[in-house]
Amino acid sequence: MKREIEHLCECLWWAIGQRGPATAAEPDWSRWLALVDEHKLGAFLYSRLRGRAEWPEQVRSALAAQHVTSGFLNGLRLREQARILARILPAARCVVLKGAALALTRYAEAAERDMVDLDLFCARREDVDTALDILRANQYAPTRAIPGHHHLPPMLHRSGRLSVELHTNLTTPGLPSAFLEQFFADRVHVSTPGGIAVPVADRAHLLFHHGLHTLKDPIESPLLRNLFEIAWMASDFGPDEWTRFTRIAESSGRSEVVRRALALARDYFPVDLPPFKRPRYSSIEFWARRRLGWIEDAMRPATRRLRHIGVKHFDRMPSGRWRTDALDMARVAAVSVKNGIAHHARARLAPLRGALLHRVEAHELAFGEHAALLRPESGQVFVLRGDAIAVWRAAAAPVSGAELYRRLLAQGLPPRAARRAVRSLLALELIAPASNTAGAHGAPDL
Amino acid sequence: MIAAYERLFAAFPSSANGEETERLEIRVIAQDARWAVELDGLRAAAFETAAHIPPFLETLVCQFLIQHRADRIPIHAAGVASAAGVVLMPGEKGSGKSTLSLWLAQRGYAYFGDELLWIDPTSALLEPYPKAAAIKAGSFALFDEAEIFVSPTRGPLRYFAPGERAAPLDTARPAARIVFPHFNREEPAGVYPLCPEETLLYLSQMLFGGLARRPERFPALARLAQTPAVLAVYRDAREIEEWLRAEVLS
Repeated sequence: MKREIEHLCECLWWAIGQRGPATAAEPDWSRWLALVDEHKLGAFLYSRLRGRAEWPEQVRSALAAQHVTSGFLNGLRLREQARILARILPAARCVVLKGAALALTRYAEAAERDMVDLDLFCARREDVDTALDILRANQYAPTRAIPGHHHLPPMLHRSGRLSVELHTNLTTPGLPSAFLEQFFADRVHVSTPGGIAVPVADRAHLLFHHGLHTLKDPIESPLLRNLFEIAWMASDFGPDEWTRFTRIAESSGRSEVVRRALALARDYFPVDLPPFKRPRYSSIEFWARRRLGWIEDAMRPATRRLRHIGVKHFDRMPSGRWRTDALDMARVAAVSVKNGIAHHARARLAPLRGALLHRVEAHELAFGEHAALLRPESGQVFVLRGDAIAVWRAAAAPVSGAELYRRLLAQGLPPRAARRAVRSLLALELIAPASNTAGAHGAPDL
Repeated sequence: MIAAYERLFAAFPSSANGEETERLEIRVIAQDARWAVELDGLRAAAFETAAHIPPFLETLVCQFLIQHRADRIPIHAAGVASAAGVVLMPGEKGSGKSTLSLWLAQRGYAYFGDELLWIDPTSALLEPYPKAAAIKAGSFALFDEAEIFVSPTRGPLRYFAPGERAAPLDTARPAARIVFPHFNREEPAGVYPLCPEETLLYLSQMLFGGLARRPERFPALARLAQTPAVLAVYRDAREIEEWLRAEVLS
């Protein structure tokens, strides 16, 4: 284990009173800070260890800055969470999940835990509908849907106050309904200062659910924070709770996923766990360890490349293979290369062949001699010249690459300019193969 | 601390005049040698010194307004106004917005704000948010002495209430010029005109909350981007003052 990781894990364990000051060799503080940043741990460490830890001044001030920023951002999110829960809970049967539940049960102040969204598990379909109606009435609107996922499209407040995810199950693929009924029945209530009793999963279910999601995305999530939270939750379990936890994990049919997360957490934190069979080594462990090892500036080409390969590894697992299968780098690399060549060929050759191209959703505004486009999903603005906007307009409905060229040439565009404009718009992803824009129609007029 | 808070928001009425839409109760509690801030009873953060509290409240109130004022577009910008209209100064942290707006306000311009301004989405007129200017240590020498507070993100700060130079809250004025300030002692000073396309791209990056899922903001921004705009690399606030006097007041 690198000394930065070792030192940071010791600090985290110290922060919850499970040990004394860190004894690992002094880390390279800039790498240590990069690690803290990457895993969103700065505000928590500052809140718990300021005045006790001997940090160099630049480390102390960087952590203090993270703490204050987290304080106002997450303070306002927590307030909005209480406001919206006060409207939803009397009308719909829900349980608060994940970070929001931990913020209410484990953390001392909003600044300590970054909370991106509020995850709510709704017991019945009618509760989902009721919660949706209340969210809509409070200026929340759905964002992009993820087909087949265990939660509905995130509902985002118009002014970005909070995002709410309504869960119809606890994971994808879903858990059996008998399990969900028990999960709901075992909920406990936490009183908040606003006088609301917020339902959260009981400790055993909370640990199970956190374990289920900790390794879902070992590349992009704040992995070390998630592992720490598992270890923290597990650290004060008594024998009866472990028995209950084991029964829950086994009845879910996902015991292996949770055991994998617990075993990895134990590798980094000195938590006492009851004996259990460690699942065999897989691509999950491989990438989790790589991820915790790249204590570098995230913008460095080497780190970016490794991150990209990690993400693509899971995207391009050969069909029939699972993320928890034994590592098979050779086959994954072969699929990756094959997919890369296919993607490149599509991007370069599609405009010249019969493939259908379609513009993505965007708002167009006349802007002097040019046109300005706004992609509402990302908020990106593009200013396009006449030849580029001609391509954009010509791809209002799915059109083959060959037909698109014919139309552009008919408008008087020189062949070279037409080709360049189509390629530029493909590169900017303002037009794309029609299969990628399915369901995306032109944005309404402003 | 109360005096600091009153100085911060001196240009605003002390009680709601009009329909109250939403109330945020901020409580500061001294406890265990720390100062804790609670929002509607929920603990947001605790600080080891009272000197951290006013900068925290300043940012918190700005953020709250950005999230709750739905009828206006918030932009990360300072602004001052003359008879010709508003000089809008959008810029990132450290670009010199606060120093320039206070400097110009002390030299005859009306003070619109040093951090956040509002754009009317239908008319593209600019409205002020004249909280006290927050001046960082690097600019202390330009202004009078005042009590020093400490922000963990911005360092030592002094607050200067705009006093009678504050534009009334119900003011709505068109932009006369857009100046993207860029304070830099190393680069040669200069004022570089921007075309409307460049201005639009820069402005789109300066909106609090951006344009994502807010397409109704786009036309107002495009309209505002037609205002003559420059990128101003400067080493001293006087350079901008002289340029404005020649360009805008003339």
